[in-house]
Amino acid sequence: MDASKEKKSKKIRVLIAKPGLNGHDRGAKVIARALRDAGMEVIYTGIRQTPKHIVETAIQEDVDVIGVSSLSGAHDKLMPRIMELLLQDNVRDKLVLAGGIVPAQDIPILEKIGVSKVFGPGTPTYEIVNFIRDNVRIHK
Amino acid sequence: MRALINRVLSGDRQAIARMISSVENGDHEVQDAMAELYTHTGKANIIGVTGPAGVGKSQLISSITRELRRRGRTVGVIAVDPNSPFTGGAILGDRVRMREHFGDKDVFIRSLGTRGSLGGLSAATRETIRILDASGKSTILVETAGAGQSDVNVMNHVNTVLVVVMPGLGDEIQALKAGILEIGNIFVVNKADVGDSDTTVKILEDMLEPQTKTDWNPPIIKTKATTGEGIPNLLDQMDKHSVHFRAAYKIIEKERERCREEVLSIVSSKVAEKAAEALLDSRYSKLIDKAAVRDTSPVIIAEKLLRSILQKDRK
Repeated sequence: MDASKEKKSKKIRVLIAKPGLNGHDRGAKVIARALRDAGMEVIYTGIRQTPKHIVETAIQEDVDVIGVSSLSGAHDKLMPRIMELLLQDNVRDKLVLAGGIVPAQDIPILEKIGVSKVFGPGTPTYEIVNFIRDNVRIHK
Repeated sequence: MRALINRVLSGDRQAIARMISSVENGDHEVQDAMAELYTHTGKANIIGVTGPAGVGKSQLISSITRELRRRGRTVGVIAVDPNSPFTGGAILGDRVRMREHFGDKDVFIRSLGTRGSLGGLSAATRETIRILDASGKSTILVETAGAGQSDVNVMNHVNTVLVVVMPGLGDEIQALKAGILEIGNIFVVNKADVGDSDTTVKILEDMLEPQTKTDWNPPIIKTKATTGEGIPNLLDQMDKHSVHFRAAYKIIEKERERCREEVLSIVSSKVAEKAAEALLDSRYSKLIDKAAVRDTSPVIIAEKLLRSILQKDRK
């Protein structure tokens, strides 16, 4: 198959999810738009998602990246639960990223359970775009 | 591949999702698998939902799904959103309205981008409908923006077309593409409490009158998707149309037309693929240079190219 045609059709699909009770999603929307402008398909499912819903969406939409945005400090319970559910359903090929307000000491803990990178508030969007492009596993 | 096919047939969500991605990406390896899955299709009720932006199509689909589930059906939803022609990216947000169904294993929701090409949209949507059909979903709902010609094309792949509007659209209803009015089987006036829905119904009645079909008179139904008002009635009409459509001659006629068109479309795109490849060759490159300065013409080059492609395959 012609290489350039292949590139045209394959898109990186990213789920931007906001679990937990926090209602602010301006940051998540900014990132969603930046990813779209970088040529990716972004599935944005809104605020107050449960871990179960996030994983179910990630499966049905066959996303390459799961971006979990959390501002309320709920990352220490919700993130592990998300990773647990992914494992339960044998979902191993997705890049998991976390964004929002995460205390520095929690970052290694998150990375240990399988989060590839934690992006703090104010991270330039090009950094996130580049990280995704460099690390996504396109198995398709 | 055998394993993947079986998993899709058994309703495995990951397999279904993977298969959809493969057809979206135009993977050649799944062609055989899709050909086999095709033999397992034809069972599902396929409903297209179209109409101007803002009328509440996504919310309506969510309500329809809720009622379908109440009636014991399994559901597939395909939500199509446009990719930016400049960046190629898209925000696929229709899923937001369907949250109440996220935890339901018998509702499969997939967001598709248009990915830029008219033909591309139709092919990916068509194949996704088939995958969901083969996986056992009893009803499949396909949502598009209803704004362009490609949306009218998508409606060729469904059995019942819902055209959704809302009160107060006025001129926008008049501007509904003629094609959409003709293919609509059921008209829905959503957000019926927001304005003068009776006037909207009357406008639609007037617009539809010149083309009263003798065998199916499209009903106009008022709904309020947020509360569920009118939805049971809508579903009854959808079922009625489904029975009407499946009356022997009608469905076979439509399927024949679809198969014919599909074959044409596949052949065209394969030939186009080969032609594009051939044009990279320096011989044709030079001919194109000549055509650009009017020393020869594109028609002559095309004839030459076509002869060459057809001859190559004869070996």
